Amino acid sequence: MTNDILCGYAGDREAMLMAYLYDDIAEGDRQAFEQHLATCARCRTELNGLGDVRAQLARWAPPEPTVAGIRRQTSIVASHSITGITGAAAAIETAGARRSWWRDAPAWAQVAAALLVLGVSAGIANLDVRYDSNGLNIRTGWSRPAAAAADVSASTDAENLRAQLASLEQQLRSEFRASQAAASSAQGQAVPVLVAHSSDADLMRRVKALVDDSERRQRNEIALRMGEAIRDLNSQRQADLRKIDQNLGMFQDRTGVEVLRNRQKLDYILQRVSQQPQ
Amino acid sequence: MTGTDEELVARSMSGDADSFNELILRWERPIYALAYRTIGREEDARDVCQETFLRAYRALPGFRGQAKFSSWLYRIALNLCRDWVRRERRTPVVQPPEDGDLMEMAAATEPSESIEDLVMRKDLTRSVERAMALLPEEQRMAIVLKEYHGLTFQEIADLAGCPLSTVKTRLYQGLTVLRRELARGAKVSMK
Repeated sequence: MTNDILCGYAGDREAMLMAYLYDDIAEGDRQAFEQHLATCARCRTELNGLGDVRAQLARWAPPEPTVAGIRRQTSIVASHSITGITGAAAAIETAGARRSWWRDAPAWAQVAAALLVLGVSAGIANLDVRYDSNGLNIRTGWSRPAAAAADVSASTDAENLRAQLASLEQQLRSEFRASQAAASSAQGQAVPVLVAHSSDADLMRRVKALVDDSERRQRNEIALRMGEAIRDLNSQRQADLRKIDQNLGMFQDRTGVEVLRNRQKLDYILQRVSQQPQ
Repeated sequence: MTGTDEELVARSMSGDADSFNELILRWERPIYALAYRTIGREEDARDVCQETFLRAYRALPGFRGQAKFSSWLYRIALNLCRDWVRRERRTPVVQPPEDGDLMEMAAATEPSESIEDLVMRKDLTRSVERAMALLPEEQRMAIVLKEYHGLTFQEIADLAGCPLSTVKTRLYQGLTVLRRELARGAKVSMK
């Protein structure tokens, strides 16, 4: 074994070092290069050094991505058919744009915005949200007077709602009768009572159906919005918790560095003291 | 859902959205890691990752299967990384991530590992990031593809569109710079 300063390898030394380092090498080339390594300290040293670099590189891990975000957005693509590519692109771009302004806003603003949306939605729909021993209870209603929104039990609410609906029906019925009476007097003809009764009942059914349908739609809408708001708040909460963890980590990091430095200084001082003649 | 990439691609092309979702699940982390190590910014790496899958989806009807799906995906991602570097008109800066991967490291380490060990590992990560940021784009790309994605020299040459010998030269030069910079960083930290 020699200690050559200069390498006398005949072939492409750099290429062979890489091939050997990454074990991406033909068997004949490997044997030949190993024979060379046995006699060349320079190549051995370089190979060891590059191996150390690889060991250090192996410790470099990218930060954990918010893969959920990636998946949520890229899944938009996959949720479209293969023929709906243009639409998918528009959807993903729109999602990206929505994400950016929302993400850039501070946390308090995001929470405030969510609450504002919730509040406005609740106001529009005359929303009544209760959380009691029966669990979360969301109700919507129309034209409820402010006085009726006082603190009453859930059963009282239901009675109030029924009373209001009955009142509304009565009002509509009387208005309808009035309009019919006006119309028949204008035509100078008597309206058969049976027909009027029949029209009232029909109108009542239609109004009730309309009210029920509208209430059902609003309930669904509000439940959906509530779900979205709760999900957004939860994700924001998780992000805040992660931030707190990160800050703690940074604090520990700084503290650790300080401890390490102090320890090194202490070692250095002890070393110097021990080296001094008695 | 199981199957090879090629089977999932075939099913995606016939309109099965779940198959493409499966491909995303399978490859999103490697593509994100490739983008992060190439351009060095978490946010941008995430965007590149998303854009990669979007472009792949758009181009799926034209995928003829001459190359592996993963190689095709890598090529899209690398082109996007190149575009990013050109658009930004600067060398990518590998930044230590804002979020504390010290915490992740702490969670992943044995309970016996001391805070000093953690700090040293953290410092090493930073040193690697700083040294990688010094490399030209093509050297960094070669190292990332070889070191972290296990591609063969030939696969890297195909992706980079250069001779195989050039790939080895780029790797050698890149690793040599890293070796020097990491040694220098270690000396500085000891002072």
